[in-house]
Amino acid sequence: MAVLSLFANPHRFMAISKPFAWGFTMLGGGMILYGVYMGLFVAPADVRQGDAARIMFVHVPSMWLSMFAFAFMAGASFVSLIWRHALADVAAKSAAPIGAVFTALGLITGSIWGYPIWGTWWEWDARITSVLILFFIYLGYLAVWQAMETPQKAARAAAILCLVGAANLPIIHFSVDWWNTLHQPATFFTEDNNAPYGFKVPMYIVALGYLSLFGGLTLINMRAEIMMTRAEMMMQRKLAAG
Amino acid sequence: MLNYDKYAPYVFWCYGIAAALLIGVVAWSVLRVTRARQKLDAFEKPDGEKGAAK
Repeated sequence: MAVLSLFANPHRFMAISKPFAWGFTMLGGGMILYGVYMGLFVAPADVRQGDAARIMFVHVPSMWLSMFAFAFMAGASFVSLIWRHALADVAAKSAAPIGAVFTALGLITGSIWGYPIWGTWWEWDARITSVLILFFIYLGYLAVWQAMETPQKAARAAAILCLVGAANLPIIHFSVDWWNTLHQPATFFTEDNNAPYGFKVPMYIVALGYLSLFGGLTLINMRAEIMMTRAEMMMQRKLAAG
Repeated sequence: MLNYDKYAPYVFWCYGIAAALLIGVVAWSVLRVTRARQKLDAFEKPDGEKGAAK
């Protein structure tokens, strides 16, 4: 709670966040480049999937990030609804377009991987369909912010939509266990994770790079949001003063 | 050097799309914060200082 209170003041947030915003963005970019280099040049081809498995280095971390970003938004929405934290809505709103991009990236790269391996670009199985629904929830969340008359109403409606939409996260995660899907079960973060290190290391480096980039871009967009709100308020004050 | 045989177009398309999307979202964010800063500066700074340091 002390950390939440510390960042409840937009002025303090603006003073503290700048080096972190640019630092995380650049660190993320560097890690992604290094992970991609390892994935394309160093990692061996998979014994069954051949070189198509290299697509996993961009696909799998983007799916992890798409779920993490939405969980982050749901957490921020919860904080906004319960404690009326001044920056919680800004954080959720700023994370949404970045999470949507990672979800789109995961869907597109999964589809391109699916054609040579499964023989189809798309399959309406539980995992793929639930991720598509997540993408539509992201779009719906962004649309709510645009559609409402006042930012206060938009923030409340978007926070409720986000918390309801978060019910899709466990469905995505467990879909491969609950239903008989074409999509394979989880490989990473399981007890019997026997992926070779040559495959795990680039995957984790790209995942950490995505995470750092997400953090940096969310902070950059939060800063933009706060500055735009402040400019709007000053403009209204000027207009009111004549 | 990058001889991925029959999978090459799929691998390169994926990495190309990933690069385009990620560079796009970074550029959009930087543009957004730059415009917000300019808009705020227009109100905060006196006329003589407009367009000065960001």
